[in-house]
Amino acid sequence: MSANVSLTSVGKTFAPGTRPVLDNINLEIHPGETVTVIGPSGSGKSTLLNCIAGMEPYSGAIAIDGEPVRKPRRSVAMVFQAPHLLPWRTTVGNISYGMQLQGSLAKDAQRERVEDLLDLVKLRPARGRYPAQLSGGMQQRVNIARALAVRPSVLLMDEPFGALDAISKEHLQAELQGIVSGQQLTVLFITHDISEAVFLGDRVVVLSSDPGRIAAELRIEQPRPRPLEWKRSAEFQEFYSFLWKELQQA
Amino acid sequence: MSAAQEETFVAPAGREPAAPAAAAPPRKWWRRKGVTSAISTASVIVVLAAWQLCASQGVVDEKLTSSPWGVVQAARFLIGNGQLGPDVASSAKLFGVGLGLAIAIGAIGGVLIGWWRLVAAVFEPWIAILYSMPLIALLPLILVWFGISFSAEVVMVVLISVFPVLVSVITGTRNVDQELVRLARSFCGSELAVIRTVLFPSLIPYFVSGVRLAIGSALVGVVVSEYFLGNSGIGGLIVTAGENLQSGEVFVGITILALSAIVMTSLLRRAERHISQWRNG
Repeated sequence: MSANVSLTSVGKTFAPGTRPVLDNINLEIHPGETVTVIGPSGSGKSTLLNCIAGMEPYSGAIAIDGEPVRKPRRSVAMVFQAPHLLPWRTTVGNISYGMQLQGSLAKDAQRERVEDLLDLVKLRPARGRYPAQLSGGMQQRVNIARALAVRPSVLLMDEPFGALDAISKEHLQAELQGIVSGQQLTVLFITHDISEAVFLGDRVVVLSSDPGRIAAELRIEQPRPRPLEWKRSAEFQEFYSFLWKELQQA
Repeated sequence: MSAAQEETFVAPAGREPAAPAAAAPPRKWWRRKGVTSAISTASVIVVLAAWQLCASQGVVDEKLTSSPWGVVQAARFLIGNGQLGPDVASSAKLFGVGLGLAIAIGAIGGVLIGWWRLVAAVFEPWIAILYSMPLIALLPLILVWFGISFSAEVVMVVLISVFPVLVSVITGTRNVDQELVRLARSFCGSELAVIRTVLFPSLIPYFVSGVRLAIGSALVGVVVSEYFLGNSGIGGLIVTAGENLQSGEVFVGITILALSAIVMTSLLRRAERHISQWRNG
């Protein structure tokens, strides 16, 4: 089941006496919603994600389904900016890694889950390959499959397509909608790419920099799955221009 | 643009011009694997032949330098009189026990010191002191504490061979990819699970290179302790043969040590290659 994520007056300062990285962030992400966060470099996007993941201490309150977050939780999975695959594990070994650490599924169930995910992320032919034998896009798909494998209710994605070429990135953006749609997930997706934010988000949140505060929010009322052609539409360009202006002021 | 140049640029639409087969410059003949192996073998044969020739022509005193054939004769004599087998077994036992303990202590200690700063704070000064001093200087103390015994010999071997493994594993532990550690923690991995699934596999190359160095050091330790603490095994054979001017027997001992080191390190290299297949992209 997807979960509700609620942030109340969240702040983050790395060292006493320094300016906060995040200041007074109030955000409610509804179950099943995909929220994309954009902001200039240094606006604390990744820090915000780490706080929600329970990997960073913070001030204020973050709750998932009403339960406060202070440490990593099994119901939350992270997709990192770099794939961070274990180089000595094959595709199958990497996808099952999170499940093995959590130990919540029996071995047979884990195997079954991996088989399903191999089809979902279209990596069946690469199941026995090591990360060094995979392209950047394939590695990122393993990264996503590994996060989905633990059946999270919240998926936190930190610029997962940032390092990919434009074509691979578009393909993965389109695929991600299909991958996520059947999973009952609440998704928080960090990006610095306005087009990606509009294409993937039900809602786009703009963070200002120094300190990171919510500068604007934009609801994207466009049914899913969204075809890539939608990116070339006037409506999309309108959203893009609005966010571009907001980012200029952020 | 010349016709030849133009041809280079014209490629069928939608197709990359095929990369020339000889894109990489051809290897010089002396760099080919078969050639280098042949040169290495020839180098050994030439030196052995020259040694044999010098000894048989009286250029060098065979009593002092022996000769390849003299070494073979000495080996046959030592096997015949039943001395070599027990000597090799005795040294192998000392080497096995000493190196095994050194690897265990080095690996476990290295992980503890590398992973937990508090453990490092306690042990690092001692490692710095012991690692930088010539450990043979401790020999008289070991003799006093343990007497002339197998335990004393083992202690000496362990002391000499533990540091390469220990230092290498500490370095490997500190160099572990912190992003992988973060990943494991994001999946709620326990400390033990992080160590088992991230640290241990990352340590393999460091561990192997530490063990490779430790093999050489342990052999030194075996010879030194057998010289001074037991007068037994291959070390004892070498020292006794040297005192009796039996150069052939000295070379038998040296050859056994050298061959053991070569065989063990090459087996280790193979094992590492097998374990680390994932590195071949």
